[in-house]
Amino acid sequence: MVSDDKIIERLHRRDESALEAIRNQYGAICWQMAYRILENREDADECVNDMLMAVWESIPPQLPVSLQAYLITLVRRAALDKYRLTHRLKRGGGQMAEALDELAEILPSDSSVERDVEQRELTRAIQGFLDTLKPNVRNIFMQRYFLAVSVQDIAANHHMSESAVKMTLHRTRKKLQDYLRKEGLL
Amino acid sequence: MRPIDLMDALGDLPEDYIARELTYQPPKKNSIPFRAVIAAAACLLLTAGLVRGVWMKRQPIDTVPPQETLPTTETLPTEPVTTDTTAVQTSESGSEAETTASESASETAFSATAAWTETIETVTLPVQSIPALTQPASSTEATHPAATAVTTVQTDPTESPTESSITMLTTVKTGDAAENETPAEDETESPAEGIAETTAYIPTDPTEPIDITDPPEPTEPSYSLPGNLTPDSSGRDPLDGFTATECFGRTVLTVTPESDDPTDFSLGYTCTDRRYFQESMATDVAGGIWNTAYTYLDRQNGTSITVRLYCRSRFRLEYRTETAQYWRLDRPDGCIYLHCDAGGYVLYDDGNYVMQIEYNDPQADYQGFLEHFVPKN
Repeated sequence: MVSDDKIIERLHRRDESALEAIRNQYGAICWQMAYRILENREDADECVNDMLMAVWESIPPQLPVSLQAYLITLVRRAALDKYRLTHRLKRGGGQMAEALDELAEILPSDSSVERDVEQRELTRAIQGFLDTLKPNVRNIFMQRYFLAVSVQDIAANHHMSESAVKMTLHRTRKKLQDYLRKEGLL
Repeated sequence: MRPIDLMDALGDLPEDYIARELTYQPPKKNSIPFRAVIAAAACLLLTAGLVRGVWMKRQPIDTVPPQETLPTTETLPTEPVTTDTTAVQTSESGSEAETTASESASETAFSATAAWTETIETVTLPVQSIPALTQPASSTEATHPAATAVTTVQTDPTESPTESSITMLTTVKTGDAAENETPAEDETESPAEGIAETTAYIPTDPTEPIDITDPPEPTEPSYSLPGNLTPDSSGRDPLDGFTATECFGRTVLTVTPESDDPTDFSLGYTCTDRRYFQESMATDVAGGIWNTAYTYLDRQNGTSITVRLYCRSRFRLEYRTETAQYWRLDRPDGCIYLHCDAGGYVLYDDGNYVMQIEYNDPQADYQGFLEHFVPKN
């Protein structure tokens, strides 16, 4: 077990053993993250490789506060990019499609918001919104819409019934909708 | 904005936000053994409380029957009574004897449990309760045709009350003495009762004993029962068609009709009405129980009705769309009650498509549900 600090230090020294350590320690969780989005083993493998490549290229100069969060973010981004490519036209199937459908209900199709709204503005708003949530609710929301975890698994993690999780997600989506409206983003 | 944009925005959150969620540990439920121990302890306490309550209620009757405490209240013969001079005492010693007698009686009566013995030992009898014992020796020597002898049992606290060391203290109470005793008239008329009562009371104040022979029944906490709902402005009873049932330990209302009465589930509207209700919800806490009230605003005439949370209503899933489910209840009058759940999710599905609505979040602000009746065909 190599500590995160040592892995980052090796990356800064351009020591390739750091990538092996990342694969050993975080490869599984990153692969699962990608697989939940893509539901394809080969694509998930590819995303993990893309993530390792991105780590190698970004550190240095990056100095992650949390290596695990950094890796998850990278692999998620890679998986979403692949998802866009493979699901550009077809819909349906998978947790990601389900999660997107759920989010679609709060977004009007004829949104007055410019489609090219600054992504960081939206991120800032979501960040503010998450700060208003109770930790338990926030974690349920993030598990669903950041990690794309299934409702069933969230219910198991939180010792709740699936219907309770669905209700919590529904309420949180409504709150997010209200929040984004207040922020002028919807 | 597309949903994927929201996903991207989530991906751009600061690392510490992500790390916080990755390391978050949901509150764990108590383990089954732990809960079993807690439940057992609660049951034990409850049982002990019940036993104690029953015992307290029965104790005065079982342990202090007046007949047993004072078995002999005999009328003296008409001839002059010769009192036992050994029993004649001064006022001061009489008081001591009285106290001793009462303590002994108390100990005898409550020797069944140590707890009650402790309680009784703190009792100090009012001197006036048995005035005859406080009278000078001369007054007890008087004779009267109607005089009665009251025999009390004095026991030595250090010895068993059944042993022969019990000494009999006979006090002769004369009619004159009774007349002269103005305070506590009832007690002087029946000193035997007065003595018996001292064993049935737990006096906190020597001058004002408290009767515990009939302790008040424990009152159950009052819950916000559906009957407290306020009728709407039109005077209709908002509870029409809603019956109170127990649901997961809560008293809730269900919309399932219990009878064949067509009006049972009418909410005051007829089958041909097509009404739309804007639903809002308010939740409060009463007695540790979440109570949820729905307010249905009839947007056509502006009236509103309020009903309590209904739980596990026996609705069947009629059909679903991408964004809504329609739950159907066949009314006894042949109409269909349709609940449109526009939330885009299945509330509860146990195989029979039983709809369950159960909210515990006081901050919940559900709005926008539509409720309407539609006529059959």
